[in-house]
Amino acid sequence: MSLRRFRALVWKELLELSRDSIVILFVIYAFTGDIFTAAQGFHLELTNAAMSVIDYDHSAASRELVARFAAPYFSLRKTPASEREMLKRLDSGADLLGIVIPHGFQSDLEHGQHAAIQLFLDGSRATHASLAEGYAREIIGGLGSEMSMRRIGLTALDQNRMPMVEAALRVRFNPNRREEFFNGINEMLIMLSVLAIALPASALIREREHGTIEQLLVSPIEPWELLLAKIAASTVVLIFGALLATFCLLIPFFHVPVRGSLGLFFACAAIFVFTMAGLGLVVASFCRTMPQVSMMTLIVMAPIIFLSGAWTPPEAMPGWLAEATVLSPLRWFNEIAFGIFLRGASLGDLQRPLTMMIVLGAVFFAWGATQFRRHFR
Amino acid sequence: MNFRRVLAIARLETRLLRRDPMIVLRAIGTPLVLMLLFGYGLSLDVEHIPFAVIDYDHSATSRDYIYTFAGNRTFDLVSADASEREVEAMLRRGDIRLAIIVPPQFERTLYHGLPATVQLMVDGVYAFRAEITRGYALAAHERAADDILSARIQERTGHALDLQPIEVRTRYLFNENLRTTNTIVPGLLPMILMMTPAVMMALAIVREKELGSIYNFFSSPATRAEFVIGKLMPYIVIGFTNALFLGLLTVILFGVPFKGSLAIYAAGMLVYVTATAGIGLLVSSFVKSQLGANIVAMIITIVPSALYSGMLIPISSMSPLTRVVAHLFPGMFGNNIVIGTFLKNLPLRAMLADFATLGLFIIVFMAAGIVLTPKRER
Repeated sequence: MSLRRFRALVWKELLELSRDSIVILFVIYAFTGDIFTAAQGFHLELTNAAMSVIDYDHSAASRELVARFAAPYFSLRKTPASEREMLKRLDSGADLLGIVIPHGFQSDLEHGQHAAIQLFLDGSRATHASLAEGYAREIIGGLGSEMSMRRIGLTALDQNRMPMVEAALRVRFNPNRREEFFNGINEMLIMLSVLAIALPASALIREREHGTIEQLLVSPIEPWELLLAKIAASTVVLIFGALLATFCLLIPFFHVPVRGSLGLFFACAAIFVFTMAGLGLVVASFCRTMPQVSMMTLIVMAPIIFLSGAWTPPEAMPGWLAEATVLSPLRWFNEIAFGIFLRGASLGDLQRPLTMMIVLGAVFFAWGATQFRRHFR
Repeated sequence: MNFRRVLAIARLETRLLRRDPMIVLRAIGTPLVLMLLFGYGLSLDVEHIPFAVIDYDHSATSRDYIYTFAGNRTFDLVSADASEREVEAMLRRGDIRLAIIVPPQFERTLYHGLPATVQLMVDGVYAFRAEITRGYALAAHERAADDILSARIQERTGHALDLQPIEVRTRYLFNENLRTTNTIVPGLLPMILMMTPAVMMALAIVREKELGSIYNFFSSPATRAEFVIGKLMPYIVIGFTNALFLGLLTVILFGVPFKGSLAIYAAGMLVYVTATAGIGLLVSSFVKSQLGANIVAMIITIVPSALYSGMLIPISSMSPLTRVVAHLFPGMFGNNIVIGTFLKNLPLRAMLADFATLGLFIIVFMAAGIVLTPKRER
């Protein structure tokens, strides 16, 4: 392998990309605008969940209960006149939950009897509905036990002298539960994955469709040199993108902490891009035309993103699928990237994901290169 | 507009598609594979949360407290008696997502009638999981704390004290058992039907530009509108077939109830796939290279179709800016129609706004596509 030849090949790839201004524009957008909207865009916790209450009891206890459904989790919108109106508001998606407090709520509790509260939730928004149910139960349960203790003459003050177990809850690595940390890093990783497969695969098929690949292959260039040059060029572009996102957006704008070594992160990112690009070569080797590449990329891409565990924890998946996540390079890179940024993981902590990623990368590259040779020899 | 010419162009494109050896994979295979993978794999249920305990007390009470966590399928106990260093390492490697620290003298403090504090540490790295874990951990803690307190009160006073006198009766509308499958699987339809028609269509025109066959169009009597609409038609047919096929799969394979009107669903999906193929048309008309079309189509469909459609995150939980962005993609409106017909059985007039907006998308995308497609060398 001649280093000069290799450099020239990489340079050719970069020139080719840089002359397509729309590609450059969208790659920059992917690492800035897109990450920005995603990072600040989503509240995964419950915020201002719209709710309505029908209070048939009109007592001090019922009013206290309603008052506890407060910001930032809940936002009381309107008092519907009837249960029908409440259900209609839930139907239309205006409210996430509705609460009905029955007659005799306070007196039942004062006499040591059970009272029942009806919660209506919009099950078509399953994830937030279950969060809302959790918070609602916490609030209602809290009031219930206070009322019980009040009944036997214990006030809130006495509770400091009671055998109560209290919880000191701490959220590690992100104590203020800032969602933009997760959203921003996650989006950057997804963009890296998508482009790391699509860029080299498309570049290879372009040569093939235009027939220029024949020219390259009759030259002294070895086939694997050509493949490696394509991968190297996309690695350069994408690492530039990751640098852009990290230093222009994540750190200065969203104050994402960097608890580990950024050098380690970018080194791992380069390995990740290489791994995914190897997969891109495999994809390209099965295709003859660009439309085929784009569909194949989707088929390969989507499972990699969704099996990565950022959204769906592997331990909640069916067994065979949880095992399949081992094959998703993004799963390992998630552990590495979140580990370095938020957990302060060192190289020693990241041995397993790093090894797995390198093994996958080697397998993918070897597979893609063999396929490629077979087509051209 | 001459409809014979539109049909001729549509026929030409169809024939090209039919002669692609990978057409079955491209047209039906990709949506099917995505549907099966996500349908089975994309469970947002948080179960088997791995956790570890540092128990400084080693008493019956501390074990009872921990058992409340370990005794159901929400939590999986990894280590019941870890050291502080071990727990720290496990958290840093991401092996556990919850750590419980029971203080020394836990049982004795409570026995003397004084409050004791247990530390709960939640791994906050993956925001959504952290939020759920936090909720489950607090609920389990509450149960354990109430049990301990009422047991102590009963020992002292001889009276049983019910600390949970208020019963909460929950009813989930549209989805009685809160099967996440019932919302996630229909939610996949608009997502898949945004990605596949858009990505397929993105290359349709730009490909002719790059390979030179667009000169056939330059020299033909067909107008730009006829060319664009003719090109679009086969992709709409493919998308629509997929909508019906995947809809059927959702009911048969995943057991999601279909409560609404099939006619509204079909009409809605026809409008929706026309709009999403329109995204591809738009990309195809302004991008210069196939490589560019490929990259642009991926960037503007993969992430928005999942994040901005309201499937994973309800629109109401988005920031103002992102809410605006969500309205710029057809995904959200398609999701409203799918959820409206599958789960809610909404009447047509409740979804008119969604239909109208999708119609507007079609007009804008088509107009832009027609204007931007060249009729001569540029």
